[in-house]
Amino acid sequence: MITPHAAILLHKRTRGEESCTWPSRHNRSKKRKIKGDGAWGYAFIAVALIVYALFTAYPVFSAFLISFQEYKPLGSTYIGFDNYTATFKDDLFWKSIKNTLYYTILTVPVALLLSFLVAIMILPLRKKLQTVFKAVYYLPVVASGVALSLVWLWIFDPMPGGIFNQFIGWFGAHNQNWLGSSATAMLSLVIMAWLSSHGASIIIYLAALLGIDDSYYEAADLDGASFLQKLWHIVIPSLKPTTLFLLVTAVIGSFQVFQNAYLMTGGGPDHATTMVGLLIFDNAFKYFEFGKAAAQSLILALIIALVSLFQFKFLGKDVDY
Amino acid sequence: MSLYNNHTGSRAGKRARNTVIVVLLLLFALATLFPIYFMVISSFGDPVEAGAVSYSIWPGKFTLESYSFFFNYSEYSYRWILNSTIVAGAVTITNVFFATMAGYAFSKLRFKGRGVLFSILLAAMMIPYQVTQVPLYILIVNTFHIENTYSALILPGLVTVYNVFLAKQFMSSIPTEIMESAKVEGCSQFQIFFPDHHAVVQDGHGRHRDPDVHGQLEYVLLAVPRHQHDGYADDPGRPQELPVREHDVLLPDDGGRDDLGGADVHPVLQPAEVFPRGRHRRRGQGLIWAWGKKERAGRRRPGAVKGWLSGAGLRRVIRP
Repeated sequence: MITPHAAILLHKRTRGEESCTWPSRHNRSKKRKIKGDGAWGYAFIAVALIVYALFTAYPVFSAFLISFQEYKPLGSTYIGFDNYTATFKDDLFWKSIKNTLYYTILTVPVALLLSFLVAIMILPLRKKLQTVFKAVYYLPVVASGVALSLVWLWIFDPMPGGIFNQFIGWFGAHNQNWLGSSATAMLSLVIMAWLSSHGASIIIYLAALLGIDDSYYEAADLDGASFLQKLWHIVIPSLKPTTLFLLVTAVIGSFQVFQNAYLMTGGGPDHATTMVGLLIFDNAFKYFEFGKAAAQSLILALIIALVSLFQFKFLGKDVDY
Repeated sequence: MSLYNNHTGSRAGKRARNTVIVVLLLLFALATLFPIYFMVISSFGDPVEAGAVSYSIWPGKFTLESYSFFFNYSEYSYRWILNSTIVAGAVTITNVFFATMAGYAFSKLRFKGRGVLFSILLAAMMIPYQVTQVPLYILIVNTFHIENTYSALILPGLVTVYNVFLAKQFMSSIPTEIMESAKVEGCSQFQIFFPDHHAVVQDGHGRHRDPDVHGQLEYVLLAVPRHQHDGYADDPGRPQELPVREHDVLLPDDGGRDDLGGADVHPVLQPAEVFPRGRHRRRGQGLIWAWGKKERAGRRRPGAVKGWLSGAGLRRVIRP
């Protein structure tokens, strides 16, 4: 047990209450804003806002209009909610939602856990080693995603000579037609996601770990807390904002996943790996049903918004953004 | 004192623990790096070898044929690389610049509509890029007429919401007191934010080097205070040369501390090492920068900053 002393302070801290014993820069500074510099504020965000308005807000608005139209090369016609109703009746759409959810649930928590563990393990090492490992783990992020996907295509080669087949052969497993069979195609994409780059989240986690105030550990040490207790009572609560941030962005990214599925399976076999992002792309640029694609992408945006809101609501209670 | 119980274990115990950790990390790194390794060894193999029926994990032979294949493939091969470099370079610079500005404003400044504007920006992260693809194309081609130009690639990515968000998260870990004290010193927000090439710091002993952060120039643009070169609170309005004895400029590891000559140091790189200490004679300098070092400098740094903030240093900053 961590002692009441430390526990209460931690509790207070994570609740955002001011504790008089420990200086908490989070409490002090996070909510505070500088007054009287409003004009500077607008000046500083001006470029970001203009770029946003032109290249994000306006296209979204126009996508909204397109979603109520049937796209024709010469003058689209207004068809009301037909695109939406057609989408909701479309089995493939629901299947793609299911696939996306499945993929998200399998990849995101594992990715976060792995990054957290790696960051925790990097932490006690010497500076030089830390840097080496940070670089090593960040390397896949730098490599081109397309090139990596192609390499993974080789790795998942269905022939006995395929690398992954060789690998599982060592354990006595039989050849699998990894990407070619609807039973394993999704699993292959998931494995690829697990072993792909966690570099960014590792570095973000590590930064957050280094930012934890030593005084918490000191207090815990005085109370004789073990490593696991410190991990549970200090590290995990302190990293909550980081975790939330990574979780939300990872879920959003996973909902929008497109490249891997597009390059490696093209959504097949038998639509086993058709993600929503891929479906939208196909509708727009393969079948040129821009109206339907726009409707589906807006539905996807809505789903993502709801999921993110849910996460903020239930996980972000103590987190101040 | 840290997360790990260094005080309990013997030296050997600590070494054993770290060895285990390194082995584990290497194993996982091996798994994640394998595709890249495979990409590299394939690139040195015969052009046909990759994609053949049998794959070898070990490099069979070494040839640069695949590379010459790329460069001979088209007369534009070099041009392609140049194109990527131009676009990536432009986008990187503008993102660092504009995203940190916006992040700073959202995190530290109070203005009307701040919350609403930020949520609107955030909402954009949830919109799949497929949504905007078609309208964006129409916009670029039909409205701006910039198809087939670099601008078409650069403009939409000038500053991304994700980066603004990251910058805001980072900025919110900087104590607001720092900016406030800089304001008291008479800095405008512009001066607080942008680096200034006059920022040369000396401490009371004419000496300030910290081996811990030596040679690190990360976060160069992330923060940024400057002191008032000509507006000390106690000597307002009068330009004044600094009695510079030593520079606090951090140079590469060869330790060139004193061969810079005057205050004319590199405008961007230089302030990275301006670090406030309680003993500084000058006020309001190197403030936010120091916070940028926190992450990389590890445990010792935050304590130092905090000590400076809560101790005599802060009072010294604010006191007229």
